[in-house]
Parts: sequence; structure tokens; C-alpha cells
Amino acid sequence: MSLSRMLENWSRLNQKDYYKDEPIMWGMSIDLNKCTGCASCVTACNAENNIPAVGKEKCGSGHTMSWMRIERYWDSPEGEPDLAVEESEYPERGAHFAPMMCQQCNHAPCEPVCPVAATYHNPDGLNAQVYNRCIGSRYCGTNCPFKVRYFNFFDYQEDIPHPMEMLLNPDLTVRSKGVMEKCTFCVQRLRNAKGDQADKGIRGHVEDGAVQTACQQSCPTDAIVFGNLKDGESKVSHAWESHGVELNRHEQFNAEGERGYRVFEELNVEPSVMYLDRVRDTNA
Amino acid sequence: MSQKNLNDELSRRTFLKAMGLTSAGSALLLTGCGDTDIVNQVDLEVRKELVLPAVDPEDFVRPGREVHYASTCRQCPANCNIHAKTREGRVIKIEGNPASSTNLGKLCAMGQAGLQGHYNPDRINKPMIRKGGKLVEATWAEAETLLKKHLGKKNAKLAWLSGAISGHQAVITKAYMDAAGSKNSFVFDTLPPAVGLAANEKVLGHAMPKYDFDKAKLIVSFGADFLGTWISPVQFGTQYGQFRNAPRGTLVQIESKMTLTGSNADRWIAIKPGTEGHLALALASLIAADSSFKGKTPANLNVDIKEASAITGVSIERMHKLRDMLISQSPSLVLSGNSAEGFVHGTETANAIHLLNMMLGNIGETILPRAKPTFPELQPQLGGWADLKAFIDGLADGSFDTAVVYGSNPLYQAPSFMKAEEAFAKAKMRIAFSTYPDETTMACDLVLPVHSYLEEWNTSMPAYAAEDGHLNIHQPVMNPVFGKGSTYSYGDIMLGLVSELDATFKNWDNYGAYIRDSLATMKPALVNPPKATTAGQTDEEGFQQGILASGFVTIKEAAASPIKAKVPAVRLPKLAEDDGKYAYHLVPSARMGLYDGRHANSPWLQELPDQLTSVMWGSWVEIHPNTAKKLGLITGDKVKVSSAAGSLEVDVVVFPGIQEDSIAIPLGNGHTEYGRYAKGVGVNPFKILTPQFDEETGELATHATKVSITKIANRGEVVTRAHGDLVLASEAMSQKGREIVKSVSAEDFNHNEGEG
Ligand code: SF4
Ligand code: SF4
Repeated sequence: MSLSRMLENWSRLNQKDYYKDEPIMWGMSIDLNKCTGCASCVTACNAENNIPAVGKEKCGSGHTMSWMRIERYWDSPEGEPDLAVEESEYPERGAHFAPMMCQQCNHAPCEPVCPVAATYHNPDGLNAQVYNRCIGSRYCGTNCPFKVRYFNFFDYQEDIPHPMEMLLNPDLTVRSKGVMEKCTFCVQRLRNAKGDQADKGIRGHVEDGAVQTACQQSCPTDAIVFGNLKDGESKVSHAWESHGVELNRHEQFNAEGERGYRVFEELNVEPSVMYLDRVRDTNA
Repeated sequence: MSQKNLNDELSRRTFLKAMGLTSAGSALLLTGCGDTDIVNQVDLEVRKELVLPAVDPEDFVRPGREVHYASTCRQCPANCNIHAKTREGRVIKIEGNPASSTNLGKLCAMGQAGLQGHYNPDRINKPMIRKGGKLVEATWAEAETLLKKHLGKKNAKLAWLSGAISGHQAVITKAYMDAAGSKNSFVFDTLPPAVGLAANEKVLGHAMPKYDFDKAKLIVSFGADFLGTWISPVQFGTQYGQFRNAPRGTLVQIESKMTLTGSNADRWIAIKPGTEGHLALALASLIAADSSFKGKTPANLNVDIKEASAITGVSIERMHKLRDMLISQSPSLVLSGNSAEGFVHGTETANAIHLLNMMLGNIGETILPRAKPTFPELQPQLGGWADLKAFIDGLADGSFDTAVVYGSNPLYQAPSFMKAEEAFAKAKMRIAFSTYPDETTMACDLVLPVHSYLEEWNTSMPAYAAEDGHLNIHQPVMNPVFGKGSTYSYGDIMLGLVSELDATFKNWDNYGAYIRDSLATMKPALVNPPKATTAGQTDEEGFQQGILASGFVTIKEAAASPIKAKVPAVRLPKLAEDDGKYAYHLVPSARMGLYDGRHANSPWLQELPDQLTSVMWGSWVEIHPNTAKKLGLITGDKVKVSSAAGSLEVDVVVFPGIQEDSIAIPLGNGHTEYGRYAKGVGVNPFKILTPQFDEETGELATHATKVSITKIANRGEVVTRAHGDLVLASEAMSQKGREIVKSVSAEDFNHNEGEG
């Protein structure tokens, strides 16, 4: 990509509603009423995306590579007194779980700071990472409000003892030392699905349900819904609509009973992931 | 076909005949393993859509194309059905089989990590024989000679220990033991709730009834971690997803250490360990005395509520609330799990909980009967600690001279007081059928490396069948990782062994053929057996290919007759006073991930942060903030935890989800063998459990151990994310006011999201 193409891409895909003209915009919905924090999704992601375990010592230095993690808190945000930890010695309302991975922001703060445009926006709404362009400046990671970018401080893949390397997924690369990586919404699966459609002569449309992300596929409680937000018939766009979350806003106005929100929406980063409020029976 | 005809036709005798007990043939020990004679009838072009046997991977490899094989997960006894995705002849991803009633296309973290067990660099790929006190690599010919010498004969002093077992593995193991004239078959698995299952059997007439979570308006679970490690977490996880749809069911979890299930409860209640039965009886008594309660009351429920509150540590107000909920939110489902049943009076506790279900009319509503199995020999045997004790006792007193272990690791799991190593050392011959160099395997004289579950033919039954008669089919999804002739399947070796003693088994030269023949004979007993699908295919070929494509078959079962529950007598003991020396209760907590230690050799699972404390790798002890304050402890300090049976040194994690008098050490680590990812990591709380047993069943009272805590070192001066041995993915407890996880009340949720 030449510099001019890069800038062109950047300015087009960072316009307020560039996706107006694009047929596909991948999006997700995560229902915290259903998510149990079991981490099946995390492990499924590890297996799908060639994510190495780095070992105890490197975990201690904060070098873990899992693209997905389960946030776990013991209190509610302010203004939810009923559901917060009560006056008790114990967290009697259980934990607060939120699976957290790249939110595929449409105004991604990681993109403009990359000196080489290794991270850029693609027309399907993905915040893409070009590994072989990445020079490891790590500006993107610093700028990410969700802290979901992971840097390869080492060549983990070179150390995989035989025959463990046989589990690697050939549909995507293994990353080497010095590059940044993160959740891609399983872009290899998306490419495949689009390719299958293109084989049939259909462009710009992937049937809802024809492709699942690895986390969604494994989730026992069906907490994760994934699909094309531009397809009015898709489950995910129904979910967004019925839970009062719209693109192109930095503040949502949930009507009564709509549970949708995007994390750190006030930063105006336009995430493609919507969460649905956790629910607790306050009469229990 | 009517059920009567079916049963006539497939009596147990004819079934065994189907297993070949009356036919003859010839077979060599250990030949032809993994090969099959199924002919591939499928056009390569359509292969991607079909799920086929990996009979000859080369034939199936199409560069760049994925091929899916249906098989079964063996990472825990739940035995979920899987689709293994392969590329270029190797498995690269495991997904759930969407058609399966057990797991509905879903998997848990352990199932997802199955690849790391299968491709584990520490897998044993050559037989080993003890020579001059040391295990050394040997050839299969040597191993076979030794195996035949010790197992190719009748021996009443032979003892056989397996992990949870079912399907044809159970059948062939039994056939061998019968032929060898030994009655000493034992099944040991740590987490299936043996006490609870025995109580179910007595009270309900079904060890494993069906549970309808979705129908329950209220679930009150006394320590049943059904989202984590209890029986069939994926099955129950999918049911839980439904349960939480509007109108949303309420979950109350009562336990001393918060489990994954507890962390999802609408109300989590900390209870003093071992007093779950007292609370259940107190609730029963409160319900019986309430004027709005219309159900039947067993006589003599006269519990002093004030006393019960003091015993359990649960306030009277909370008990009243629970009573009101149980009466008004009907039907409900009251469950008891391992942490409630792991005491000397475990059975009594389980019975007290049954009593609640009976009074509330839940039996027949949310607790449902099962059909009497058409083929009892295929049913899962989940085993328990009583079997392990009998196995060890028999070795110790010389009743057994030869010990065989398959799919179980007793030397890791047996508490020190059982002196398992000593007893094991007494056997003249110790043989392991094993995939990994675990503690037990490394103490054996002959080690036979067996296939991983992704390399072998098999059948099994799920620990919890969502649908009666569900029989899983296992097939190799690729050629053996270490090449043909390096590892063999348990079934193939067993077939060779049994045919040494019983000529009727010589009819098959490999276990895959044996299974296929047996399934073919069962065909009339199956619901909708597959037929020929393409021209030129015989019905038999269509059947064999069809069952491999589906990954399971359903056996026709008679209709289940309603449960006739027997009111159990409940005798709860007076609890012992503190003796001062060991002031804390030890909870040896199981977690989704390392399970009972069998997954400690998976780096993904070691590195998966504990769902509640966020610790990665290693072990820790969970201590309540108040207790920590009292003892002057902070997260990262090192303490010594001692029981009457031994002690451990471990790092502290201050954790709010634990009852103040209890501490919890997770199971899974502290291996002295088991390969590079497990050996030397963390501590093993099994070791310090004290000798206490459930009075009714003889099962180990796993949660009855009391301990003392002494600080031995401060957390390191430099505070990083790694404190000494402790690695935390995040120490964050609070959202600090940010809206990361927002919550609403169930009332609003139900109001707005209507009837689902
Ligand atoms: S798999 Fe589903 S339920 Fe489990 S943590 Fe992930 S999103 Fe939550
Ligand atoms: S519950 Fe057990 S059988 Fe099912 S996926 Fe998990 S480990 Fe495998």
C-alpha cells in the first residue's frame, strides 16, 4: 500500500458513516444475562487462532497472548445500588463477567497512531492487523482503551515442542517476535464464507448463520451472537435494534427495557460489539 | 417393532452373542489396530458436507479443504459429541456436534483443549518395561510377551482399576475379567458425585434422574457446580441458557466456596461447611409449618430454627426468604453437589435435600425418571473413592498380586493417609494402559502406550444422557500421531487379551470391526438406524457410514415409569466442636479447567485464568478478607496449610467468595510426574485430606478435612503481577464506577422481554 492509498483508506473509512455504502459490517452481541464466565470461548479462540501459551514466567510479566479474556468484577458501576454488593461479608449477587476482546471499533484509536498503517480499517468494519507490515512500535496497544492488543515479545511458535505444532490452524499465520496481534472476529472464517458466496456468484452478502466465530460456536449458553449488522434480517442486527443500540452515536438512549450498551461508548470509538446488561433477581 | 418384541429379540443373551461370545474365528494379539475395512463410497467432491470415518486419511486429504469427523470428547465423563475438523490429515479444531442432545453443538474449555492432550509432547509413544528398578523403553514384541505372561492366564488375584467407563470398553473389560476369573474390577473417578448418585438410587430408584432446569422457576443448589464440574457442564450450561430466558428462573447457590455456578447466582449464600443438611431440614420444617404450603409433609419435622441458624451461619431472615421463594416459585429444583455431600454424613445431607424436593412436588416435574436401559452393560460406571479404597486395601493386604490401571491416576489422587504408593509397590506386577507419564504410570512395571481419544474406535455413554439410550460412537479422526505401530487402542489390546482366554473373541482381528459388528447386531434396537443413501450401497454399508456420520445412535428404550420416591430418614449428627488446633475447613475445590488434575498437562488450561480469582498456572489458597485480616495475610503471602495428614506451602489469594471459617485450595496441580507442563507446578490438596468416610457409602468425605494456617513468608517487596509463585491475570476487583458490566433487575427484564 502506498502512502497515498493508505491515507485515502484512512480518511474514507474513518468518516462518520462510511459503512453506509458497504454491504457488510461484522458485529456482535454478548448477553451478560447468559454468560457464565466459563471461558469456553477463550479456549476455543486459542485453538482457532494459533494462540500460544507463554508459560508461567512470562505470564508474570504480563505477556499473555489470549485474544479473549473474561473480565471479572465484584461490584456494580455507580448508580445501580440494588444490584451492587450489599452490606454483606460476601458477594451475594455473584460475580460480574464480561468476555472482552477487540471491539472492532469503527473510530479505532489504534489505527491513526500506527506509523506504518499496519492496523487499518477494512470495508467490512474490521479493524485489521497486517502482521508483515507491523514494526512493533506498540503505539496501537497503548492507545487501545480496552487493552486487547497483545504483543509478541518472543518467538513463541518456534518453541512449540513436537508434535504440538500439528494443532496449528493452517488458515492463518503464526506470528513472530516483534508484531502486535489481537482478535480478528475469526477473519479466516469470514474470508472463507465470503469466498463460498463468491463461488456461487453472490457478492456482498453472507447468509446469516453461515459463519460463526470460534467463541460463539463453543459458548454453551449461546451468549454470543455474531453476524452482519448491515443485514436487517440477521440475528445480530435484530439484537442491536431491539436493545436500542445504534451505530454512529457516542451515547445511546435506551428506551425502557432495552439492555444494550457498548463499553466506553463515551470515548466515541464506535465499537462493533454490543453488550446486554447482566440481570439479577433482586427479590432473591 | 413393539417394545416387547424388541426385548425378546435383544435379551442380554443375544446381545452378548452379538459381541461374539458364541462365534469363532482367529485373531492375533495387537494386529490390525485402527485399520478398518469400510470402503469409502463417497464422492470426493461432496466430502466436505459429509462426516465420514477417517479410515484411510491419505484418501481423504485434499489440500486446503477441511474434513469433519464425528466422534466423542473424553476429556471428562460427560462424553460430549464432537466434530473434529481436520486438514491435510491432522485434526486442528474440535467443535461440538450440533445434532447431539448431550451438548447441542457446544463444548467446554476442557473439550476445546483436547488438541493439546492429543498432540502433547509428553505423550508416551513406546512401551516401557521396568528393568533393574528403572522404566526403560521396550519394543511392542517384548511388551506383548510380558503382557501375555501376566494377563494371558486365569488369575483370581488380578485387580483392575479404570476411570469412568462405559460402552463397549466396559463390555470388553468385563468380558476379559470374567474370562480371567477375577472379580476385582474397580472404577475410580474423583468428581462424579458418588454419594449423591447412591442417594438418588435409594430415594428415587434412579442414580441419574433427568433434570429439567428450564422448567424450574427456582433452582436452589447446595454446592452443585453444574456450570463448572458437576456431571455434564455443557449439557447443563445449555439448559441454563434457556433457564435465563424470560420468564427468567432464579438461581440460589448455597456453598462454602463460591463455584462458577455460585458466581452466577441471583443470591449466593455462604454456609458453614457440612451444615447443608441442617439448612435443608430447617427449610423443610419452615415450609411444613407455613399456612400457604399445600403439599404433603413427612411427619416429625421439628427443627429449632434458631439453633439451625447458629449451626449453619445462615440468618433466620434468609431462611424465611428461602421458604417463601420455595413455596411460591414452583416447580423448583433443589440440587446437592460434591461440597454438600463430602462429609461423614454426606448421604444424610443428600437425603435432606431429597426431602425438600419431595415436599415441594418437584419429583415428576423437574426431576424426571429414566427408562430401564435395554443394554445395562453399556451404561456408564462413574465409580468413586470406595472402589479406590478397596483396590488399595486389596493390594496392601496381598489379596491382589497383579494391578492394572487404565484411565485413572490413583497415585496422584489418593490422599497420603491411604498409603497408595506403598500398597501399589506390593503388587508383583503393575501394568498401565496409559497415554501420559502420570504418577501411576511411572510406578508401573509395564507401560502400554495407548491411543488418544481422537485416534481410536469406541463407543461410550454420556454420564448424563439428555435422551435415554444415547450411545456415542468414537472413531479415529486421524492416523495415530506417532505413526502406526507406536501406540495402540485400549480396545485392540483388550480384544487380543480376551481372545487368549476366550476363543469366541477370535472372530475379530481389530476392535473397530468388533464394534461395527456389535452395532450391526444392535440395529433392530436402534431408533431410525441409517439406511443406504446412494445407489449401489448396501443397507449395511449405509448403516455403518450413517452412524459414523452422525456420531451417535439412539437405542430404543421402554417408556420410563414415574418415579416412586421413598421418604428417606434423615439423621444429621451433632457437629464436632472445634478442637482449636485445626480451626479451618479445607475445601478442595474443583474447577472447570484442570478438573481433578487430568488437564494439568495442557498449557492452555494452565494458562487459563481461574474464572473467579484470575490466577494462572500454579496453586493458591483462597482466604476471606476478614480471615486474612485476622491472620495478618495479604494476597501473595506464603502460608503453610496443615491437616492431621500432612501440610502444603502455598500462596494466599484474598477472595471474597469464601465462608469465613473455610479456605479453599483448587485441585489439579502438584504433580510429581505428568510431563513438562504439570510436573512441579503448584500443590496437591488431595494429599492432605484426612481419613473420614461417608458412613452410608464408604466414599471419602472429601470436604471434611480441617486445617491450620501459618504464615511463612511475606509477599515480595517488588509488587508486580507475579508475587512469588502467584501469577494473577488481573487483581482488579472493582469496576471503579466504569460501566463495563451493567446490571438490571430480573423484574425489569421479565417485564420488558416478555415470555422469551
Ligand atoms: S463461552 Fe459463553 S458463557 Fe462461557 S465465558 Fe464465553 S461468552 Fe460466557
Ligand atoms: S463437558 Fe466433558 S465431555 Fe463435554 S466438552 Fe467438556 S470435557 Fe468434553
